[in-house]
Amino acid sequence: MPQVRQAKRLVSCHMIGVTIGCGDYLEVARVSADRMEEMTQMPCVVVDKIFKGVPHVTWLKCFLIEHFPHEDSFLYFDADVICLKEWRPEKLFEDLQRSFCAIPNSLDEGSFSESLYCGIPFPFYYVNAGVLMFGREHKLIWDGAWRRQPRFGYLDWGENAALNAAIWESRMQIAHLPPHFNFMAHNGNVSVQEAIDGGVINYHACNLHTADGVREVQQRFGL
Amino acid sequence: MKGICIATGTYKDVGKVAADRMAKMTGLDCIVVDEVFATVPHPSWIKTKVIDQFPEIDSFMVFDSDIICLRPWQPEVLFEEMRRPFCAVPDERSAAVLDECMRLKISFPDIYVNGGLTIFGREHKPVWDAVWARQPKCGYWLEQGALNLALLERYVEVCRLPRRFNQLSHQGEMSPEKAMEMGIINFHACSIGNASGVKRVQEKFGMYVHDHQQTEPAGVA
Repeated sequence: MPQVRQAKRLVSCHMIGVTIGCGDYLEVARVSADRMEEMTQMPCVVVDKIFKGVPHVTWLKCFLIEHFPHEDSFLYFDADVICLKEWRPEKLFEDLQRSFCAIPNSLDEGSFSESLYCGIPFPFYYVNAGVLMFGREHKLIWDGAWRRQPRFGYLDWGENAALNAAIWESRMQIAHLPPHFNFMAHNGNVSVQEAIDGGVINYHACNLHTADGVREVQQRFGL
Repeated sequence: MKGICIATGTYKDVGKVAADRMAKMTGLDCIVVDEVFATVPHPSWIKTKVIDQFPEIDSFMVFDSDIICLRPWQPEVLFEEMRRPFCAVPDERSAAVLDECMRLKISFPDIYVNGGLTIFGREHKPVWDAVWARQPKCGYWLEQGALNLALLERYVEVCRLPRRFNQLSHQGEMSPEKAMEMGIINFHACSIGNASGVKRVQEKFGMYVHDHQQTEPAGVA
């Protein structure tokens, strides 16, 4: 059973931050988790072992609720997410009455193809799975995503399309947060200054595909 | 933040009851705008002018008089926590909304928002100006179609809140017990078409008990 650093846990905090960093990604995931912990004042851990048979490590998200049986709610973030501003995920999650929280993907051709494949509206509905908040009550959604493994979607975006399809069919209460909670910078190509000036809270250096690439972006952001 | 309920003419009384209830549940100062202070095709279009009308107010929650707040919540805290996005709630998945979306070329469902409850700041004036530019008519429902087009064309940061923040119930037919069971925060008794009908729904939710002193809605333990 995973050990969460109790010493860092705030008395009132029932949410845990989780990122996945297996293999080469372990180091960058730790940096990302430490940063998130600093900015959210919430314990953040790295899942560094493939604890379940999955087609790809990103599918482990489907089992976080089971993997952390004592945690009430979760902030999931990818290892290539850099938190730039302080925020309070648990407070926001509770203020939104524990709705499944996600951020719509950017308005690109890929999202359009995926939306079409999943039969969901475009734009502003298809969410990116890089930053999510959910509670134990959302297991239904993750079970729905897992049913679609090993591959779902027009593009090979891991479990992302499966999650969207599961959200869609669940009819649960969903909060679509504004983009600055998961600002997608393809290949990390948006500068530090632009990101800060734009009010970005979580900078998502997506599509880098290598841990070294993520590390370079983290270094650029002074991590 | 100020809560604003637009309720002119015969809607003034039910607007007052809705605003008092919202104030009690949110801690916001909620007022009723009961005068048509601008030349508008319909009082509902007054929403487009509230930023101008209240120059000293930093942010707003504007809600219809047929909304009954059922649970405590903190609109201003939520708005600030999310870094002040324009907040609204998706409209229902119905044939009428589909029809409206087709007409306005908006994706369906869950993209088109209901204009019955919105949260915004002064920085969102360009949105409301773009809504106003489409008066006197845009789509089926007063300024609502224009609001949706304005939000989409301006690429403003929008938070589409979960439905329980503005749960539509046609003619308020849902029972208070069911509304509470569903965890609804704001119950929107829409499509009633007259103030006396809204008042009946408010009564059903226990809002005229003890000589107009509001109590917990029926169904609250």
